[in-house]
Amino acid sequence: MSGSSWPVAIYLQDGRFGLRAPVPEDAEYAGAWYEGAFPISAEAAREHLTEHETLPWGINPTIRLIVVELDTGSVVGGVLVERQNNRVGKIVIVAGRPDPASEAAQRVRAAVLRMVVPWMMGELNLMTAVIDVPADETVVIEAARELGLVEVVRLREHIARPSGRVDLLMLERVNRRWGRADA
Amino acid sequence: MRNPVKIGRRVYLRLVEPDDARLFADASHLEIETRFQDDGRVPVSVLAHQHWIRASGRRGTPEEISFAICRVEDDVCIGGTTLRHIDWINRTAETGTGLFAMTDRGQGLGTEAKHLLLEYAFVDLGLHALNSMVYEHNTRSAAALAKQGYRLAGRLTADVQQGGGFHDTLVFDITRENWERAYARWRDEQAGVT
Repeated sequence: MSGSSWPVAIYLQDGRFGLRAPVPEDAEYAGAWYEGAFPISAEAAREHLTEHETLPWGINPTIRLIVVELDTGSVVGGVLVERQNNRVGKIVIVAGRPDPASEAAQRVRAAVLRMVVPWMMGELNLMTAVIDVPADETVVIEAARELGLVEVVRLREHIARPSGRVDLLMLERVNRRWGRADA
Repeated sequence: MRNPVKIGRRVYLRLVEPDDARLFADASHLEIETRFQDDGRVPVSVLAHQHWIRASGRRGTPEEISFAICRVEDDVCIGGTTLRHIDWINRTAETGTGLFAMTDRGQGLGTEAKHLLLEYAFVDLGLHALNSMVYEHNTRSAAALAKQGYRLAGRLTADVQQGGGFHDTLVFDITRENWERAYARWRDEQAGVT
């Protein structure tokens, strides 16, 4: 896919990666961005996008964005920001298949996290941002901590790895602007 | 009994069927408890419940399996219990259980149904670990989870908005090993063993 085909949000890019709204052609690259556990066909992915992308003006409670490499325009991942009651924001980041636990894959997810958390807190004005991260994904966890997310839940042995099971962490940041008169 | 999947002494579990929709819809209109509903009580239509039940009963790999909790003595459906967000790769899921009538609550029926659900999850499906979410003021459910072998894993800050304020959600987890110990204890209690 050409990098110039579709605009990347000027406020959601870091010099290497950028985020943009999905387009029907992204269905051809569903393996990179689709959040489900099992693969889907391009046709099913197109249906999935069409069914999801129905609300304009930024009012869809679940915001789906595609992660692209700025130099090439290649689709390298996806992110969902699920807004519950326009207050609690749950983040799901997909990148790095077929080896999502690799350090390279984690670096992409860490970069996405660095873009979306400040946006969720500062522009979407969500009260909390929450993300689930396997306890062995140290690159993502480090990025989350830099962004002010802290571990609030540890679910024991919730992730299966070839070498054994690891815990699943829920990391959370509370928006300090909430509850203040000058927010 | 109608298509039982798991059978206990007083209750059994079967898949929810479209004709259960009326019971679930009625329960949403007749609920007395106000404090433990995350988003407040909402009357829900039979149509909506039928849609949910039909969707959950489709063939294929499910992300959710919902059971009706039925009394053994008269087959009456008295509530529901669910495995949701089933992760077939990591072999985890979230659990949730509810009884329709206040008079059935606190009688041990929910715990018996929950043990049947956990047996189904850990033994029949081979899941490895489960989790459950409870509104922080719902001390009854939190105590029930602890008794069933769950452990407090943490809390999500201000996850629920109610009564003009924000409240945390408590998150619990349980492994098969935890459940086996709790189940053995519960069975001993039921048998009168001290």
